Amino acid sequence: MTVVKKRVKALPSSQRGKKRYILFELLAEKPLSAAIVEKEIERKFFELFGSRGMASQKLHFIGFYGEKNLGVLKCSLEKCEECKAGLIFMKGIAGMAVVPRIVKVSGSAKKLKEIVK
Amino acid sequence: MPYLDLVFFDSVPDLKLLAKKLGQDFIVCKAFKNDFELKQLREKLAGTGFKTCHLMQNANMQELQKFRQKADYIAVYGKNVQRNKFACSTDRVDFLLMPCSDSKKPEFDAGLARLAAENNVCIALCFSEMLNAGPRMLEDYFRNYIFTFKVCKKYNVPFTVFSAAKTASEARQAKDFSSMLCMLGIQRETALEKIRGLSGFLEKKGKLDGFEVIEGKEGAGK
Repeated sequence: MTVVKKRVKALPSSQRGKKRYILFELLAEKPLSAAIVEKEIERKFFELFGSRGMASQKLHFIGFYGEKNLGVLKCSLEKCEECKAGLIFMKGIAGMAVVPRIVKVSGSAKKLKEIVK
Repeated sequence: MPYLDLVFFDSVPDLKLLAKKLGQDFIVCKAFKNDFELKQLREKLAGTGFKTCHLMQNANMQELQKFRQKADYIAVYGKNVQRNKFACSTDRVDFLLMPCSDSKKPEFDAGLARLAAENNVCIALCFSEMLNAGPRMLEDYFRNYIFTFKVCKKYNVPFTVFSAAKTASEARQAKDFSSMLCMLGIQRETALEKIRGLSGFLEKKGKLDGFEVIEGKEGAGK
């Protein structure tokens, strides 16, 4: 009987590539919902960079704190500037005008969570 | 504040709020028809620390002479070879906004870059135009500005990115424009230097306080 592996062995951290976490703020009149913000970021980045660009950015939406309109985005270190530029291209979410602002870039999500709190 | 941004709207409450939230100062740019309009804006901005800038949309030397001493800064709107040449060939112009349009052939070249470097004219990209451009137009803008900034870097021309916002929602944090320059092929360190160095550029030009610098010349009053 052959044993089928349920999970593949995780890649060692040294081979995963370095990442950065971007803390951004969306200055808007009302609190925004995480799902809408995530969808809008994906749409805008796809429009700007395409599938290949987004793949190389290793983009991952970590979370959005609606009450403060602060969000965290994970990306690869090499494409960090590209991601920051992509974020400032956002101009409206759900019909509401927003002014994006990069608050901080960090190597760990923990530091950013402290800032959000 | 070390960061400066140029905008096209003059709503003081909005500007004050944005200055506080984004941590930067503003240059309010407008095409003034006469001295009275400029005076009105100056009165409106009194006590805020924001500067005024006259926007020229024609290559007109008389207009330049008229507003040179009155407005804090002079900007020329490019997108045309004639206007670009006019702006680059005089040191009285501070900014050349949008030297290139979305045409196939860029309106800015090495010759103009050399002239701009000689006369210390800052080449500026208006972010709001890219923000409001469609995908096809954006592609053309990217192509032309990658070339423009490459040439500017080669000939040591000062360059920067302004939000050039027509409404408060189009304004962006000036600090974040360094990423925009990185996207246009400039190295991160150079991009940061260019964005941070704008105040230094204006100071060097003797225009940070809006007037030609006369102090510092020792014995001027003797």
